[in-house]
Amino acid sequence: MRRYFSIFLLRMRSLFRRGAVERELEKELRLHFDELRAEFRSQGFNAKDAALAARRAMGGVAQAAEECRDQRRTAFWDRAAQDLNYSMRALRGDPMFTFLGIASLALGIGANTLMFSVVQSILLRPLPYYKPAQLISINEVSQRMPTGVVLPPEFANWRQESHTLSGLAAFNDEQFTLTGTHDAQHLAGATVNAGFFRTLGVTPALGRAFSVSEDGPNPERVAILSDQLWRSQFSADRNLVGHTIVLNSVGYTVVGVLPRNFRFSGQWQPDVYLPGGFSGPALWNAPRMAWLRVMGRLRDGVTMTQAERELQAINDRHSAEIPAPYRRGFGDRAFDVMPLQQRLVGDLRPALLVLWGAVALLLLLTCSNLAALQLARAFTRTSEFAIRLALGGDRKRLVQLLLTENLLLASVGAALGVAGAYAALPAVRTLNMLHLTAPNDLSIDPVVLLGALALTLGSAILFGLGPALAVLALTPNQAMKSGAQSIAGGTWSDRARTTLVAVQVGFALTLVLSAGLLLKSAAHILSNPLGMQPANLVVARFRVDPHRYATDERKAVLGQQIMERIQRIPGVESAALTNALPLGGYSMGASIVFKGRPVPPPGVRPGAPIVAMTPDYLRTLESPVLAGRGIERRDRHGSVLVAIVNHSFAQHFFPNANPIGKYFRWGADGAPWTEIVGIVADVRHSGPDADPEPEIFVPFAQVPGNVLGVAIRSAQPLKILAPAIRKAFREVDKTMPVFNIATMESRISMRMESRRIELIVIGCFSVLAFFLAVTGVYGVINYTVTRRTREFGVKLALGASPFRITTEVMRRGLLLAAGGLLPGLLLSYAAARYLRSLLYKVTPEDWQLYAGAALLLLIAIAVASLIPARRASRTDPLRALRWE
Amino acid sequence: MSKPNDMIQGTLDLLILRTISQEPRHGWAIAKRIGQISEEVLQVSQGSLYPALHRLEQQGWIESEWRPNETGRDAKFYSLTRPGKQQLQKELAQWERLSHAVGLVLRYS
Repeated sequence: MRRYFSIFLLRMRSLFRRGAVERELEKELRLHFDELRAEFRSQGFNAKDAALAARRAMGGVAQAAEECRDQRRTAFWDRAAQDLNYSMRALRGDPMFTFLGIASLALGIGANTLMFSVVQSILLRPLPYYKPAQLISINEVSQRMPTGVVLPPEFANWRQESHTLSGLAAFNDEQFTLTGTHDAQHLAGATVNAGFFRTLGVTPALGRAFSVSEDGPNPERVAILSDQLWRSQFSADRNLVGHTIVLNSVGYTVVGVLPRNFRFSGQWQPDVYLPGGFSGPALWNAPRMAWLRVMGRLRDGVTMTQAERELQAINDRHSAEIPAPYRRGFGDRAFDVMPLQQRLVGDLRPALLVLWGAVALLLLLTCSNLAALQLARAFTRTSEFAIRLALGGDRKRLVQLLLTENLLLASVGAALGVAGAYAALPAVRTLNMLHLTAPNDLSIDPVVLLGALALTLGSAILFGLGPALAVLALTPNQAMKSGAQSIAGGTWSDRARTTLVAVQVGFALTLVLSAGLLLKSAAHILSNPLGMQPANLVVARFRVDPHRYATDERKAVLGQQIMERIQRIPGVESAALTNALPLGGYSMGASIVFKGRPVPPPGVRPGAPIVAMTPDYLRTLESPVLAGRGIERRDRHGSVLVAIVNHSFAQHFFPNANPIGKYFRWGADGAPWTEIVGIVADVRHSGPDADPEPEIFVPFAQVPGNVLGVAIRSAQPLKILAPAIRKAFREVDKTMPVFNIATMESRISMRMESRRIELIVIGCFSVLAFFLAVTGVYGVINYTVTRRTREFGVKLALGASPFRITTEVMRRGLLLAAGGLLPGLLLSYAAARYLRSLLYKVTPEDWQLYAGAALLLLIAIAVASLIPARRASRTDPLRALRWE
Repeated sequence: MSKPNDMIQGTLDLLILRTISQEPRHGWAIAKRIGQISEEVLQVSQGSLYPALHRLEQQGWIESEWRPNETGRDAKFYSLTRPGKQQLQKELAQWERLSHAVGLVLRYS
């Protein structure tokens, strides 16, 4: 062992301390010579003869020294260093090629790896459960119930009679208010069956799962908490199990805490689980029917189809038990069974697959681009190699040199690509692709990275080396002749290159156009008037316990108390309560009847959402009153019923008349008439990209409803406002949870998030495709120009103007582009139609955009072919002809 | 590798290893010593001596050190490493066996 270590040290010394090693060798041999000379002197030679005799006796000192050097075994590295040096000079000498090559590699590897990893982490990564492939999602859908519904009695039958499933899990989402901690908390929760966790294969980290006896018709008051809730609200107290927590004012005993890595599905992460009473017998006469979502675990060797058939048989056996109202209400339901993973990924699957296909295509285009670049370059160098060979260059050595050059280029590109992919990862994580994965699950897959590396590096080296090897296989004589030049460019490879470039151009046009359509949509949306001023507007939601505040009087008092506290917060300019926050949708709606107009039958009456609010609501949003007046304090309980309608309402129901002073009635027949006293601008309650609906605004004082939100206008930052708002609510009623405190601006941008992501993804792709197409054209034209140098030389010598040569080359570039643009336009139209659902006020027939995208590409391609065209026009006829 | 001079090269290696097994010597001294002991039958030229020394050093059998020689000049002294000593024993044994075998053939055939 020590021996190898000392050998290693010697080698290192030979490599890196070459000067010292050389000096020592010389000194050693010098000493030998001196001793020899001294010996001859002592034998009676004079000084001159002694030196001569010694030199003769020594023999070839240089050969001996060289032989000593050979013993160091560093020749390979010496040559590699030489080659590296030469390669760097060669690459610096052709900066355009070097830049394009490195950029193609970096983009190809970086962007593709990143996109591939994202798609892969969403589509392919198994769910974090035991044997996730066995888990299926079971649903029953009908035309009337497209989202599907499974009722607890059906679930009970399956649970008792199924032999194909080893376990069944059912859940129903619920919302809870947790009290007894510092602030009342609004929690997402779920009621589940006793076998829920066992079916998923999850064991609580603390305590236990629910037992079947706890999950009977009257479920026990026990709860299992998420790790997140346990940490945030109970400071990770390991003794929490057995203690009582208060949910919706009822005490529940904590029996378990889930492991930290347990995730439910995507965005919806319940914090508390209760038994739902789903383990009892099938009872069709229960007063309340939960709508279940069901998952099952297949037994070993059972297929999904077998399970579905069995469940269908069980349902058929019991079909007579289903009460008529349910059967009528749901219509004919059919089973909708699929792997759980597919259900969770859901509708995104086709989109992600398209994305994946795009990634794969781009990767191939990158490789083909590299190939074109390398072929062109290899071609230009055939004569260089021919000369080297003719001068007696070593073939092996030449291949080594080429390999070094290609490896150098490839590794710089690859390093940049990998570094870029990792650098962009945090940004991609913050995009948090549609909330599908926990952000930390998104990582660069090493296999994918290696695959992309292998593919791009492989093609770079293969295409860099291939033509050169063909040249090297020739005799120097052949190589010097034109034979070599035809090797690098046959008709077949010419046609392949042209086709590839056309595909690139077509693809780039499609992506650029798609990005354009999305960008235009986003611009339209952003220019939509919101009907309010989002800056300095903060909104929050809260939940009123219907048992504590059962009467209208109590609700009214509660509203007053909240408003008093909120208005006392320093810096609050105005505040209002409402039952419909902007971007939060509505909570109330009714059919309406107008006074003095014919009354349609109940089924076909027009309807409108009703926004109940305190008087300052519109002032707080800064929604301008367009006509009439706003709600005022005089609009009290008992005074004339008044309402404000929005602009859309006025236009829709009073297209040619002034609605102010008109009366309408909503709700039951015989309800009192309400007078329209004002018109307000359209507030986009459903989002900036949703068209405003006709809306009615009424005062809370006259129409008591359930308050659920507060809007506050204040210049204070959220950091200061949020705790103050929480404190205000705590002072009013510490069992009332306040949640989703956010600035209006952040709510709007969240609303725009999925659009932003689509725009960014397609934008990135289009930039990459654009770059590929332009460099592709450049590569081909550049190659053609090089091949035809002699021809251009002859033409110039015969008097052709440089301008004519330039236009000739450029014409070829533009023809090449046109060949791709025409099919590209068709492809773009297909893509635009596919994207239709994402477009806003933009049609797939927006021909201006098509013209713009095509023009943009054409200009870029013209510029790209101008560079080699200028080179062609500057061909030196003499040099070109001397090539013969 | 079965070049005809393999044995000769192997023999030179053996001679060098043996020569420096008693005390460290520099190149000139090694050549002199082999000449003296063999009664000038074996003449080692520098052309084969120094490549052999460098090879043995690169193989880790011997190591070198610069220090003054008898006349006070800096010389590169070679000595056996521990693996070198084992290697010498191995090669000596091999040599004995070979010369014994050759002797047998010469005597009895």
